[in-house]
Amino acid sequence: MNCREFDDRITPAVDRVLHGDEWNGFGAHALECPGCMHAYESERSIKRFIGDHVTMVPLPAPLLATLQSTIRSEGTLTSAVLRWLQTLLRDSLSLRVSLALGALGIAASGFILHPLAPGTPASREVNDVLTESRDTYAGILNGDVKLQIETTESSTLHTFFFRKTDFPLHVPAIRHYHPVGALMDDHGGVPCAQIVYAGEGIVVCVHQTCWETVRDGRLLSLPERALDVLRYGGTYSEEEEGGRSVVVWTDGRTLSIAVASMPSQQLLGDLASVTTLPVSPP
Amino acid sequence: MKGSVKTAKQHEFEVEALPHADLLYNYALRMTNNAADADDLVQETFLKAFRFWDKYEKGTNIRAWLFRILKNSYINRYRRESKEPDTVDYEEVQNFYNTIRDERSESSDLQESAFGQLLDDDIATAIAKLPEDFRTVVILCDIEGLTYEEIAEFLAVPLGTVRSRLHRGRSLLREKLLVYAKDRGYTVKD
Repeated sequence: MNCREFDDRITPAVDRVLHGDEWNGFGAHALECPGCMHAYESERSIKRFIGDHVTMVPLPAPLLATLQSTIRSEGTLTSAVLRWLQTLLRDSLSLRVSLALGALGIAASGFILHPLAPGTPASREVNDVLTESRDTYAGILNGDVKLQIETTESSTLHTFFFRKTDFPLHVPAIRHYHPVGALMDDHGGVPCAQIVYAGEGIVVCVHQTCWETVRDGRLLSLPERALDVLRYGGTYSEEEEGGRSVVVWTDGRTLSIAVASMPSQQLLGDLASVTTLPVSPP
Repeated sequence: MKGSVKTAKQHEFEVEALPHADLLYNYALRMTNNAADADDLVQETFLKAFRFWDKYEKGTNIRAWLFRILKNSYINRYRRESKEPDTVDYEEVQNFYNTIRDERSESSDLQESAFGQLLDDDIATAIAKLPEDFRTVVILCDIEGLTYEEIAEFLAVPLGTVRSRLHRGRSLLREKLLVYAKDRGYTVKD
């Protein structure tokens, strides 16, 4: 065995996976070549040192509990959404049902695993957050934008959004509606959260992002007419032709935009009972 | 009926996949060097694994399957954040290794004596500063005790690549540790 062949075998020798003739040849060369012996001893001692000084860290108990809880809640998600849908179909035959059926497409299509789901408006240049919210809402209804998680539970939303945003995220309680799922995307590098609600045959989407970023016009913006209202702590609303409305408000560092296919006064009325639950402190 | 299938899936997953959470957590911890990030990474990995549990081929190496999910999550999270990819100058590493052979300065006993000057933080930092390819194999082999075959399967690379990365990774780690030891006052004899 020459020095080059010896060199190729140092690592398996250190890890004790060199056997038979190879091991014998390795040992014989080491005895007659101090340089090679030194290289072997050097690698052997570093392995031993790491083994002696770096130990396995036990899995933190809270993390194990979270994993178990997540698995249990995940198992019930699809059936919860299906139950909601069955109720919806039984109770309503109006046009609203067809809108909600867009959400059914989402529910039946399963989960999207990537934080930035293909098809979301995340990579587009548009930075008007009001336009983004409307587009996302339309995408949800027609099935182009997929939910990344389906859940009716605030605690599961908590897990989903945890540490994903740099602003306090809220899960508003909206009269007559309950959450059915959520997704995260980013607009111009700014994390944006979407919580999707359903009830009475209508889908409501609450879009949240960092108010300071929008207020200062960095990466995201709002029309000046909306900024004027929000800067003084007011609630801004507008209604499009066709009956789709947006309601915009701020809460500390969080900007929220609710979008729904209903008159703005009705949406404002339902939002009047909003109570917020901070789920993701900055 | 559907409910009982879900329960069986959860049970199966908890029995087969969850026991490997320790392994994944330690790997995540060494790769991110941050407990909160490791938590997030492990949670994301198990969530994905559960959702895709039907895709896992029973009887194959579940640790390798979980590891690949974690590795992809890690890449998605952290590579995206760094502007420059984590590159390795293999030639430089090889040149360094060749100098070891010629060094007459320290026997392995003296080397261990030098390392005795180090604090746990020094060791953790030295590992964290290894280029990612090398860090991965050193963690998996020398800390988590996996076989070459398992590591090769995890990384989807040939066995020879595992050996060479391990060899170079250990050499680089030794170099870094000696630098830290000297910073702590250890003097190399001429």
